[in-house]
Amino acid sequence: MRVEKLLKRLRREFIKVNLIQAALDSILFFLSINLVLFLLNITLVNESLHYRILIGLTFIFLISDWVHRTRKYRLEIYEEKNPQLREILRTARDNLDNQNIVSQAMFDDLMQRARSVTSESIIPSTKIIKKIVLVGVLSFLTALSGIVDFQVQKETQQLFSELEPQEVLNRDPERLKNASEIYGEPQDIQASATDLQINVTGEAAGEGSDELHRLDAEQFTFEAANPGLPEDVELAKKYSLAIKGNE
Amino acid sequence: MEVKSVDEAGKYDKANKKLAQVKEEVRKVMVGQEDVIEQVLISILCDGNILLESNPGMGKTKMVSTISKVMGLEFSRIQSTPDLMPSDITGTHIIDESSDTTDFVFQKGPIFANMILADEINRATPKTQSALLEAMQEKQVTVGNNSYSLDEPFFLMATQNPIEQEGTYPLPEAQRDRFMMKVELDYPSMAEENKIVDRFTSELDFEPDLENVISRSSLIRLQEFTRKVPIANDLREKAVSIVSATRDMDELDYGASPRASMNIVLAAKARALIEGRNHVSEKDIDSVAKPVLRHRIGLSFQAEKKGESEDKIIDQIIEEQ
Repeated sequence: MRVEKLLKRLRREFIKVNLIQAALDSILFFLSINLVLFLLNITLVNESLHYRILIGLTFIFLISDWVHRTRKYRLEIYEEKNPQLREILRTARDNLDNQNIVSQAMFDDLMQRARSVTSESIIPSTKIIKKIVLVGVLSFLTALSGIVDFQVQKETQQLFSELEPQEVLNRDPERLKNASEIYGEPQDIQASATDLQINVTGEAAGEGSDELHRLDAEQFTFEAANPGLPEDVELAKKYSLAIKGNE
Repeated sequence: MEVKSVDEAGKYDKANKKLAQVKEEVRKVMVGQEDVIEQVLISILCDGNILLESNPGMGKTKMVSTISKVMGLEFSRIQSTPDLMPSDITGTHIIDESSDTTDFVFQKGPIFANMILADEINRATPKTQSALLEAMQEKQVTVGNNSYSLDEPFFLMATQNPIEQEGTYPLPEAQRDRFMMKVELDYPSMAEENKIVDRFTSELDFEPDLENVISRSSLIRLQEFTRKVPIANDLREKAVSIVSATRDMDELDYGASPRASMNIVLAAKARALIEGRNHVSEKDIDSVAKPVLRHRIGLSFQAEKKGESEDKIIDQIIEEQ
């Protein structure tokens, strides 16, 4: 039981160590892609969506890298780094069900030896240091390229689509618009005193009825602005006040 | 639970100490030959038998008698000759004249001991060899219509002379397979030989006080312990693949049987116990592969012509694994 716990602990520590490595890999991935895209003056979709996509891709990279690393778990990794555990870990794993004296002695021995085993023993420190340095270098280059504003291409290229993010993300479902939305807010039109005169000249003539159907050209003339309109307005006001008075 | 575990670990440590003590006691008499002593102990722990190939005068009898004394076992020696009959080994029915009635009683032969040294087994006729081999395999002897069980533990070490083959009856492959190991005893180094000469020429009868380190019942318990030594699956697979590889080698006419795989694993467990380890290591497998396999494989004519030997082929197989 104690050995099972030990084996689980070792696995957990391996997972933790690989999470650190995967995180560093993801940071490197993010920084390098970001730097390359900046230098080439490429945005993935547009400026505001660019970083969201990049962070999303980095997260996917982190998960897949972590899962991939965790699948490579072998007890032999601990044995290689801890010579005092050589072969005994594998033997304990393969004989967990044995309850005899010799196996018990082996389990006790293993527990004794495993006290000195920590996750530090399986951390590839050189690799991690190299990665941290690389993160630093990339961060510095990213900052420097922003300050200097050095870009290989001057014109921004959109890699995937020209759609505005609001159009992509916040597009409303289609509906009928009313007149005010189409024409905008109503505006008062200043009436002018200019008369518009439209003269229509026609020859209305039927067969055999010349007198009845012959009309003067003057009869087709109408005035666009009726000069008697203010009087009508005054009349309408009177009526309206009278109606209110009756109410 | 913790107390029980510590107690069990203590028992195991005690067994390790006993075995180390056995080696120490044997060293009081024997000079050098550490590997051979270890292999004999392995064979005893595995309840197996040994085929020992060595020139005369190498201290085989001394070694086996010393080990039997230290382990509190009854020792007996059989010198094989062409006229040695099975009944000379197993025993025979004789008339008991001590009582009034004359009854046939069974008089036990030299095989009824715990440790037997069958010297120059290849000089005995196949019929006598068969009687010995029945004892090795079945732990019993048959005389007339009766079978008699041998005492436990039973261990037989048969020797062969590698230089004189005239007038001998070489053991067939099937009978060689019944020996757990074939041990080759080489000449000692100059320093060791010097020490041997000094030790055995200073006194008229060099007989140091040897302590009986373990009892027979303890030895049987140690044999049980041996089988319980845990082994990792990949190491067991390695043992099997070494044996399996002997069947596909062009240099070999025939390879080893599955009994060889069992014996490699068992011998590796015993070696781990002797070395004071509580699990089998890869070096245990590599170390016991040669003595377990060398008498179970047959070199082809071409390989012999090229100057190959069984040990070289086994080394090659181990390297390839």
